[in-house]
Amino acid sequence: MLQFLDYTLNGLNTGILYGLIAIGYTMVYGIIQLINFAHGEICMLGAMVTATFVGWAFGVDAVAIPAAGFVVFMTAAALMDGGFGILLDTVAYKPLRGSSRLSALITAIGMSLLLQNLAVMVWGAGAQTIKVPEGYTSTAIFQIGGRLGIRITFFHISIWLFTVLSMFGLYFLVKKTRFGMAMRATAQNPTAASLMGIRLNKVVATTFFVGSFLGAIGGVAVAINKGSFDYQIGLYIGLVAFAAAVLGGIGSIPGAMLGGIIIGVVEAWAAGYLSKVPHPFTEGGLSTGYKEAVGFTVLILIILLRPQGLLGSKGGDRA
Amino acid sequence: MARTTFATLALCALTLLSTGCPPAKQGGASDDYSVIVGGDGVFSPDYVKLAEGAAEGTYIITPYINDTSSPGIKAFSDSFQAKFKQDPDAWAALTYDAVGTVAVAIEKAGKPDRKAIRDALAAMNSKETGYSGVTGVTFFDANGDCAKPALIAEVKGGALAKSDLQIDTSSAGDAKVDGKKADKAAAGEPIVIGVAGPFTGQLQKFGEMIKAGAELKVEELNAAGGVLGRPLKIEWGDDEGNNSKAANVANTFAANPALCVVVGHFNSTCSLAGKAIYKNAEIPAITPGSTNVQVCEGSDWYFRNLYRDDFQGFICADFVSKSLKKKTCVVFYDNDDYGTGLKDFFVKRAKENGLEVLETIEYNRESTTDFTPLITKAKYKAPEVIFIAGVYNEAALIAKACKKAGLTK
Amino acid sequence: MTPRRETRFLLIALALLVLLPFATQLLGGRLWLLSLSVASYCLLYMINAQALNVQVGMTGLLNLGPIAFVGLGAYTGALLLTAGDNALVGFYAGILPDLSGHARWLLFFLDPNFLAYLTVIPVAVVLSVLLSLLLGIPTLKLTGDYFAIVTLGFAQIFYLVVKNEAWLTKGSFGVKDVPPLFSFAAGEDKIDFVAHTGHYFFAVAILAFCLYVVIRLRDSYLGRGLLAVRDNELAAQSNGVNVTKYRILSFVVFSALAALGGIALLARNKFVSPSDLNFMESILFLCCVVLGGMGSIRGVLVGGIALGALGEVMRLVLPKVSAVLVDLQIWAYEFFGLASWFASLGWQFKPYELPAQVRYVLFGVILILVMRYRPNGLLPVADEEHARGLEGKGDHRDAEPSFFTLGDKAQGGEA
Repeated sequence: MLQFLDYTLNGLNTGILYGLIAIGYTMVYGIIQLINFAHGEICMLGAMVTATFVGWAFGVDAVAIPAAGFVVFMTAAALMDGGFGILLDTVAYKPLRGSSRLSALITAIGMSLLLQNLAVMVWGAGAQTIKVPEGYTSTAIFQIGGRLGIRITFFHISIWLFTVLSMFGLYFLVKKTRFGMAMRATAQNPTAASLMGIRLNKVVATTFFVGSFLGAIGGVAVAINKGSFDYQIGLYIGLVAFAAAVLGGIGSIPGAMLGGIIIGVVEAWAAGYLSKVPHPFTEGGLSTGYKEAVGFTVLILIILLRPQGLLGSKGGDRA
Repeated sequence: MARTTFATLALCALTLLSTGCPPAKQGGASDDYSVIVGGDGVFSPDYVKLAEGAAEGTYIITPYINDTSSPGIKAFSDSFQAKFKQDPDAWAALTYDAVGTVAVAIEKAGKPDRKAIRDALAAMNSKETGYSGVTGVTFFDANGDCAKPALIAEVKGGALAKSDLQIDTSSAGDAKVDGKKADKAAAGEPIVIGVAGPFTGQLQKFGEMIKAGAELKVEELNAAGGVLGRPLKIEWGDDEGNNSKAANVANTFAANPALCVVVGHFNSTCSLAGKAIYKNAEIPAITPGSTNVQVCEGSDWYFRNLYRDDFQGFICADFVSKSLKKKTCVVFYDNDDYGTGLKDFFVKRAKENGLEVLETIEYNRESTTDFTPLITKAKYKAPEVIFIAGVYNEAALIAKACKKAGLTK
Repeated sequence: MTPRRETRFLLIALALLVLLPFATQLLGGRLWLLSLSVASYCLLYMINAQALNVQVGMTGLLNLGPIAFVGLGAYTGALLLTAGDNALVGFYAGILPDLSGHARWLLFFLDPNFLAYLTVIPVAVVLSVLLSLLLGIPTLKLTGDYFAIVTLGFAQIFYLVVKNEAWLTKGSFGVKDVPPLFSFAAGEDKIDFVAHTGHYFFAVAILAFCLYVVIRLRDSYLGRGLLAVRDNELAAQSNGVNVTKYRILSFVVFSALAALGGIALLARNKFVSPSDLNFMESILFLCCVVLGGMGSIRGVLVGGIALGALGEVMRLVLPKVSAVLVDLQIWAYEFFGLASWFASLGWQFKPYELPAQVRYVLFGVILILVMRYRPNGLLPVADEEHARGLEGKGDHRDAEPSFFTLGDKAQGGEA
């Protein structure tokens, strides 16, 4: 039982991170119907920049990083990443606003390649680590079940706190502010929105900023959780987060978080229990290497049963 | 939106409440920490660096340790340190020796002719006729394989050092560095050798070391009069650790008529991809890093100067059961041909030795971003030993995660 | 472009491809092998991009997992050819007469290896088609991005299955030592030119076949049906077009051609492994299609050459460019006497070498620039009928002045 809870908690921890990154995808898609392929790279940049800032400030081999300093630098890196997001839009996507979606997709792919390799040129292809305050990820605040049982550390508590606050913040932003109304109007009908006096460029830029900011924090947390990261981390987490966004219904922010959580938990359960599933053709169980496939399998099943995603709205063909 | 938040919070509450359940039975003594043992892919200074303290006490199997108490190794290490500002690792040393072997073969062949060099290499089939370098004596059997001993390194005080526990008693012979100096400088048309490796990509660290080892040896050889009086020149082939790119590199090498021999590739997949091309084009190749058993089989043109995965797997299992005297273990392995191969041989020998393999946990180097559930899986079995059949990047992450989970000290 | 002009273009392209090995052979041994290697690499992209074009360009279904079908073709071929210790080849060798000398390659169609490959091709095609039906039938109601993500997930799952089920596919080791396309390529008395170019001409033949199939398809009523489905599914359905039938048709044709591409890959590499199935390849095929011009057969051909060659050419050229740059820096350093200036600042002079990643950066930049200035591709279909993009919007210049014209079909979900 304890083991099951442990897996579930592991899955939830990773899941909310996928959710944070997925929100970036879903927000951009909701506004301009673009699959921002380069979003994963933006998250990777957020992690790289954080690692660099912390390294500059406290020295490359430092062990004890003051918590306040860490938070400051991480926030600064995330803000900068928000800026990168806006830059990405301005440079790559804005010029293509009238063209077919596929050209924008290819541009996004091109940007993704570019950013990945720029990252290698700047930071090298080796693994990077983000130095964290001492005991941040290892000292157990709650421990259940002895030394080898469930450990809840300050890291887990802080990411949960951040996620809950972000969700409330986004809800407030989108539903209760005028700007949020502008965003919803743009998503619904951009032409009418601009006729109403909404500055579309501003709305899009802000969307990119918020999405990239959250994605950066998500990327940093994934990097800390994994232990180290390299320039390619964006590729895989981008794929998974995109799957999460679609699973939850693309365009829906709570859907993105829900999708992320589901994929995270299912992946963790798969890691734990797949080997107990007897293999149909050979002896022994299924290999844990399928862990990554399980998320996609769930996605496919849900989409086939409910094509608009879990919380998505049925889009009619307005052609 | 509100519904989702409520659902999420409810799930959290449920999770926390239900931890009142009695904990599951855990096997093994819960006061003993696990020991990490790694295959040679883990042997890299970056393993220690990335694991940030969690690497302490890890045992690693390796073909070479930078043990400066031996004069031959010290000379090599000092020149390497002087040129590259870091200590050489096993792959730099093996490449250094591979280039040396190739140089000697060219000298013996008398001309930079592919077939003659291959014959010269094949003739180096005993300790007496082999090449003596920093990793010991390199000589080849009928297959092209090389029997070199496996050493055990230990991470002590944040550095890789020779462990006091050694299992392989066979000796490689004393490490030797060529000291000959020629009276006149190398001149004339350079002799071209190809060096292939993952110079870019995720395994760039290995590539860096290979490049460094090769560069150092060529520099030394040229300063000592070159090969057959002519300078040696390297043509680099970046295979990025990818087998399609490796095939392209192999084709490029084969197409160059001046290129007479290849040192490479590093990854087993890449060597296997290049194998058919080198065989077809009749270029001899020697790998300083591929341990997959099939690399040299079926081709008269491929050689290697380190042990194979079967030997390595057996040594690892013997080390765990006989030197460390442990009874249970969990194996983490990378789902590529190195990790899977090593794991298979380890498990086979473990069964023979009575070492119980509780779980084999697979991960994918390129896509696994979260090791926590995999560690959780290992954790509840409370193994005495954790064996990692993979490369240093992921091994460091596994070590870190084990420490975080309380599996290791 | 009128049909005759297009056919002329394609025939010239094919002729150039056929003549390439002969031309470069005259220029010298090294260039010949190199160009052959690069050209055969490009051919794979050309073939697979044509296959993908049927689905993405002509039917408007964004398939992000084409590599799975190519890989299935390659793996089927590899596993069947190596089964029972090359039993298939042995079988043919047993029943065919032994040839020697020039007869061996003049009568290449009687070569046991070649016949083995020919036998394997239909099996690969059938399996690939079955797999595509497995993907295509459940996804009939999906459109747009939802369809794309399902194909993506499918390809990822396929990749992991191939990697893990070692009892079937030999797992991460891959299938090695696949018999070459022609037996005289492996023999001792190899006739160099023919031995090396065997798989190249085979790939050119496959490309010619693909082009023929795609052109005939496009110009037939079936092709018009596909285009109708692409432009506006609802309208097509209202006009009596059986959307289901055409979606399935696009899958079938695409997967059959992709399987052929897989066999061509196998013939070139004689080795297949899971790393050939990575996601990046799918993306590159898609880039070929979009870069060239969706639905445009000539365009996709050019796109294939561009992407295939670009990567390889840059890999070979950039080190030389880097060397020139380094020399330039050293010269400038000495000419301007910067040594003292550096010393006073405590800097060490180290000339900047272009790292290998530059070629990927350039690659990305090229993609972005082409999309910016030629969003309809390099050789778009200029014809009225075929000019529609994925959302039924025409050329970029025809777009309404309103800010967002990215189409409402984007929501996906039920069509």
